Amino acid sequence: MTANEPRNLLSVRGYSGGFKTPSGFKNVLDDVSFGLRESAMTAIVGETGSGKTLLALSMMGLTASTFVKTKGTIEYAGDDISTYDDRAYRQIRGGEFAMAFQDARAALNPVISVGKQLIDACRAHRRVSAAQARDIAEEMLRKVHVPEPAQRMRQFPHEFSGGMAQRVLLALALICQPKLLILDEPTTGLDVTIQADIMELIVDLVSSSGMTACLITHDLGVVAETCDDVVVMFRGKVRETGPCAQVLQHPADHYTQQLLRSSRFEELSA
Amino acid sequence: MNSPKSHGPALNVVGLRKEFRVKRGGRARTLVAVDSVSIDVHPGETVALVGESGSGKSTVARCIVRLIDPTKGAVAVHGRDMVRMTHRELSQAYGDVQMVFQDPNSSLNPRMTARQILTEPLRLHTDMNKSARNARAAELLSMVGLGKEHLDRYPAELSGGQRQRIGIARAIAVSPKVLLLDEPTASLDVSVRGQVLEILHQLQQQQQMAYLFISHDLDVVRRISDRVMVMYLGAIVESGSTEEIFSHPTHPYTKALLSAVPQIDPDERRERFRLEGEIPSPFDVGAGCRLDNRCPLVQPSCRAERPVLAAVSPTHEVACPVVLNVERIAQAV
Repeated sequence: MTANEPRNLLSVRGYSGGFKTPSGFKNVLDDVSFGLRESAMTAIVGETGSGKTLLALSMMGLTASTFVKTKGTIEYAGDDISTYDDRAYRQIRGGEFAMAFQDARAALNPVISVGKQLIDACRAHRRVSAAQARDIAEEMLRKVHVPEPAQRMRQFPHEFSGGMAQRVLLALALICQPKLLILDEPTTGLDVTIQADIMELIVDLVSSSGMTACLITHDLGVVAETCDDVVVMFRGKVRETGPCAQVLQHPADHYTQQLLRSSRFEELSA
Repeated sequence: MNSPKSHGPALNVVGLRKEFRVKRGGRARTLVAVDSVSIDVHPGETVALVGESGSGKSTVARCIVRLIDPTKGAVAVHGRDMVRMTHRELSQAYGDVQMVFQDPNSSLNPRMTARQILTEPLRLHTDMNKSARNARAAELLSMVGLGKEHLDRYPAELSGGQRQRIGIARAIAVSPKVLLLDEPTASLDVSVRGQVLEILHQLQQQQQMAYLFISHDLDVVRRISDRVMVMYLGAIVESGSTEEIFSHPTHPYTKALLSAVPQIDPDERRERFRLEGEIPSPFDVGAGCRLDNRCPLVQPSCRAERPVLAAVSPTHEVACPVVLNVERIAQAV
């Protein structure tokens, strides 16, 4: 691929930041650099506290007000979006960037029907009539394999199982046909058979639409089976990046090696 | 792997059944959460109970230690019947059977220090004096890889992995014969998970405890158990040695479960064995096989009669006549 070198949809360069606390400034992200290749699925892996979720929120412009960027850029479409204010971000967030959160039932509004949440999201970014939005919403639910979508639209999040709620969240993220989809631990807390179904669905949707996706997870098995590229994080630093096959089969970094050993139970004596 | 001792099983569960009365739409209905579950665990042996959420595996553990009372069935710990014990007898029996809970954040009292948490069972179950109890608490901490400096810390001052180790230390304080482990590593990072599993292994080697290990993490189960029992909607659908279950899964549900586990190494990957839809409500289980509406191998006979466990090999049982027939033909050829 010399003539058509795939370019990055989004590039994070030297990104650093942290939180102001009563006991002083606490640095959390330290000189983070990586790119999200267009139409590829990139995983960000790391253990609790490695800064992977904060990084996702930084890309979405959703960091808490106590977070302070100290250095670096996040480049998208020729712009440094890390300098955007809320107003500017609202132009891309939801429309061009979408995110699916970890606990799907908690991420949905419990007092608004699932159908209305989908229709609202659709009409916020696309110029369609209410009736058209309803049709799009129903079609979206069908696409994420929610059975009987017309009936399900009238229901509320508590009437959905964890797996079905995660499908709704995916529909919600995809209804505006985003260019970038960020998935924060989309299958954590789901049973393995449901996890396998949801990951298959995500891979199908991403590859059929040509979307760029970023999967945040701690499960190297999921990464190996679904992603193209991987970014390994530890204590706010990027330890290793590269194609999944290379990083997972021939890790160069000491921490990546250790993480793989733990995942394969190699340190157990029995 | 350890050979069973001549004294018989440390934990013996026969025909355990638990029903809940649930009000639904104005009328009370009976939900069968656990149905005829039988388990033997021998000293020094680890038996894993695996299944997805709602399969009833935690309910089994709770019935064994009588946190809830079983509707029917017998539970014997070290030959003593737990089901008919009075509360006074039961509190004595807790010297023989202990439990490690899934979430160390909610199973440790936030207002007690590690020292208080660890000395309380010693006060209740042994006649140690105060200094002996304190010495034992320090010893327990070192057994789980923590130091004396952790003795006077509160749970909030410890990390998740350290808290789970306190939970394990509390459970082994009275040297129980049977340890029930309810997803002890589910909330831990992989690096910490390895440490905790290693500690459990060392303790079992030293004290020949019988472990009933409840988990949905099949990678962990494969690494640490001698035998595996697979639960679906309250019943055991397959049981066998770890080797047989993982290399030769026979029940359609076991196949679906194992083939769904994501693998880092391409060689380990299995072709997906798919079931229809999701686990149904336990109210909607018919008279036949619990898997009838999801199973690709379903036959009309599956809906008529509930399958019972039958032998595939001397150490491998499965509750599915359809696959059992296939197995028998394969073995005959």
